Amino acid sequence: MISGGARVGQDGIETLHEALIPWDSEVESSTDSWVSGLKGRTFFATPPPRFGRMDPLSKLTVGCAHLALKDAAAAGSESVPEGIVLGSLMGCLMTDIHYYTPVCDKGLEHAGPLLFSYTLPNVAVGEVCREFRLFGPNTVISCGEDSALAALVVAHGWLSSARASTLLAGGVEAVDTRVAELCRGDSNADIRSSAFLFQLERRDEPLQPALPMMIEGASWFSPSGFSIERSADLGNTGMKRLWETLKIGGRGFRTIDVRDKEGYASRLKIFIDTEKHGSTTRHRTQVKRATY
Amino acid sequence: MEAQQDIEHRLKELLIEALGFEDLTPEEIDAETPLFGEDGLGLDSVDALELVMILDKHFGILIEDPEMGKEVLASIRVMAEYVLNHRKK
Amino acid sequence: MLKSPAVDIRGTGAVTPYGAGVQSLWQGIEKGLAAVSPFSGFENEGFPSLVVGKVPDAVDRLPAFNGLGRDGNRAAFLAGIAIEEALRTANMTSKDLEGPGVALFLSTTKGPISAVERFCLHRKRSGDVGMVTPSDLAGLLARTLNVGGTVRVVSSACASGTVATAMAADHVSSGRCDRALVVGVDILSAFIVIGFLALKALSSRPARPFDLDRDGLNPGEASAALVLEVTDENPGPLVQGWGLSNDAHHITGPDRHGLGLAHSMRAALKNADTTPDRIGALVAHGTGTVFNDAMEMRAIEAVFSPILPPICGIKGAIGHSFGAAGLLEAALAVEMLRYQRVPNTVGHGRCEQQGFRFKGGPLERHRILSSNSGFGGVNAAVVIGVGDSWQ
Repeated sequence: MISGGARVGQDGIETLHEALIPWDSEVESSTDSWVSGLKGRTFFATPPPRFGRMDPLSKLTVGCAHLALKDAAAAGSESVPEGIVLGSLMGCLMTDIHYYTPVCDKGLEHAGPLLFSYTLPNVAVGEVCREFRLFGPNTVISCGEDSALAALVVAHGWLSSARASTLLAGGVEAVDTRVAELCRGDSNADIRSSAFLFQLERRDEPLQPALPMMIEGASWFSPSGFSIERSADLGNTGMKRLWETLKIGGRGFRTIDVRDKEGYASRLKIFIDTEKHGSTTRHRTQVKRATY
Repeated sequence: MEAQQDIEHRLKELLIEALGFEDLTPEEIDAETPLFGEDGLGLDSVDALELVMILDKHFGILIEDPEMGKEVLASIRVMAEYVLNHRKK
Repeated sequence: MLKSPAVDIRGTGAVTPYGAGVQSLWQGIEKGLAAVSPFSGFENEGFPSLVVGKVPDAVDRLPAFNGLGRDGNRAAFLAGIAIEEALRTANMTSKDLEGPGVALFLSTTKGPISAVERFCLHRKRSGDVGMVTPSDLAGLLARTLNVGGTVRVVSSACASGTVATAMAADHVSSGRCDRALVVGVDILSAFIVIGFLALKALSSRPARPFDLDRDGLNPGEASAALVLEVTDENPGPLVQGWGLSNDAHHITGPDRHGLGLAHSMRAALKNADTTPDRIGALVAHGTGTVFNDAMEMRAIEAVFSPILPPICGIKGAIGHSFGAAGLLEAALAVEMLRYQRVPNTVGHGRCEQQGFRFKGGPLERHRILSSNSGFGGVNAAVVIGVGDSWQ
C-alpha cells in the first residue's frame, strides 16, 4: 500500500496528506534551474550536514524522500523503510555537464573530485540510504518516460516477494537549460525537473484506515503502433496522473499507463478507497483486507 | 604580499563555496578548528581532495603525498601558513 | 524472503581487453596474462602515466551485429558483439529475442558517454539527439532486436551487472518473461578516467587485487551478455539466488567493516537456499584499491569463516569495466563451473591477511558466489551454481 508520499516541482512542495506549499522567492529566483536553488532548510528543520555538498539530483531526491517519510509517519505509519527504487530518465546528466565542462575548458586539474562522485545517478540513492539508514535493496532504473512508474512496478515486485516490507519508490528528474540543449537540441525546450517519492508497504493483515494499494504493474516495449509527443515531465510522466488520482480519491480500481515515443511502456493498477473531505483526503474507516 | 589573515579568510570562503556550506560565513569558522573528524568541521576524504584541488588551482601548490595532505589540511590556520610559505600563484 | 526458482544461464558473451569471446577471457586469465596496457591518453593534455583495460583494435574490425554501432556508437557496437556470442552459445538466433516474451536489462554506468563529452567540448549539440542517456542505448538495442517485453536500464554503479542479473532472473522465474537478455557495457572515456584521477583512485601500474602493495584501479572497457530462461532441457549453470544491500555509510568509500557487503552475501545465500560451506569459490569485486579490497576481505571473513573459499578476481587482468564487470564475472563463473576450476587472480602476489586463497585450483563445490560493490554504497551478490547432471 501507499502509506505516504511527496512531490517537489516547479510550483513547490506537496505531500499526499497535506496541501501544496509554494516556493519562497529564494528558490524561484535561481537562474538556470530551480533545482540549483534548493537548500537544506527547504526540506529540513535541521538539514543534514552534507546536504550542501550534494548535487541537485541528490538534493532533490533526499529532500523529497524526507518529506515522503514524514508524510507517511504523520499519516500513522509506523514502518521503517528498508530500501529504495528510483526511476530517472535524465539521471545525473546535469551534474555530468557541470563536472566535465570545466575540464574541457580549463584542463584536467579542474576535475572536481566531489562533483565527479555525483556523476552516477545511484549516488543520489546512496545519499538517501545514508541519511535515512536504508540497508536493504536499492537501485536506480531508467526506461524512457515511464522510468518512475516502472520504479513503482519494481518496488511492488520486491515487496510481493518479501525482499523488503517497506520501500521508497518513485522518480526524480533534475534538469537545466544545458540538459535541454543536449537532449532536445534547444536550451529553451520544455523539460521539467520534479521529484515524486512514495512510501510503499507490504501488509498481510487487515488495515485501518484503508490506504491506496498497488495491485499489479508491468513494463514492456513496443516501438511501433503509436506515437505521442515527448513529455516535458521526462521520466516522471505518469507520476502527475498517479498523484492526482491519489489526491482526488474515490473508490475503485485505477490504471496509470505511460507509453513514450521511443517504445517504453508501463502500467500500474491501484485500488483506492478514500473519501475526499475539503482539501485533504480522509480515509474511510471501514476495515479493508489488504495484501500490500 | 598577502597577510596570513587575508589568506585565512580567502581559504574559508573557498572552503564554504567548494563544500556547499549553506548559511555559514567565513567569520563563523574558527581558523584553528580541526577540519576533519567529529570534533571539527567533519570533512571526509573526498572533501580533502577538494581542498587539495583548491590549493593547486588558487595557489599553485601541489600536494601529492596523502600523509603530507593530512598534515597541511589540519586546520585553516595550518593551511594558510603552508600557503604563505609555498605558494606559486 | 521467498526463495526464487533457479534460472538457467543459456548463453554467455563477452568482449574484453583480451578480445572478443568468453573463451579468450578464460584462457588469458588461466595463462596468468594481464590484458591491461599502458595508456597513451585521450586528446586532453597532461595525463599522468596510466594503465587501462582497452578492447584491442582487432575487435573494431569485426562485423557489427545487426548493424549495432555501425554509426560509430562504440557502446552499441561492443554490446552487439557480446549479444551475438551469447545467442550463439545459447543455440539461439536473433529471432529468439523477438516478441513480448523477451525482456532486456542493460547494465551501464555512463552508456553513450561520448555525446556528453562532445557537448561539453563543443558547447553545443552535435550528432544524434536521440543517443544521450543509457535509456536511449537500451531503446536502440530493444528496437534492433525487436524485444517486446520489459526493457530497463539498471544503474547501480559498479554493481549494475549483478543487480541486472538479479532483476532479470527474478523476471524469468516469476514468469513475467520467458527469456531475458542481460547486457552490460561501458566504454573507456576521458570523462571517467579524469574523474577517477581526481579521486586519486588509479594505479600507474597494473592493478593488484587484494595484494599487500595494491594502490589503485585500472579503468577499463568491456561488454558482456547473458541469456537467461527456465528450461528443462540441458540443465546447466543457474542463477540460484541474489542479495542487494546498502552500506548507508559514505557515497564513495565503502563501510570499512564490510557489513553491507556481508549482508548482501548472506541474503544471496539464503535466497539460493544454501550455506557458506557449500560455496566452492568467490568471484570478488577486487578493484585493487586499498579500501575496497580491505572491505571485501572483512566481509568475506564475516560470512565465510572459519574456512574461506578460494577467491578469484579479474580486475587485475582486464581492469574495471564498471557496468560490464558484474556480467563478465557471471560469465566467468559459468566457465569455472564448466571447467571445474578456480583461475588465478591475475595481479595478485601476496595477501596481507591469513586464510585467503587466491591461487588457482580445482573447484570443489559447484556453487559460486559473485559479488560487487559500488559508489553510492551499493552491494550486490549472486549465487551461480549447477545441478549434478550438468556436463
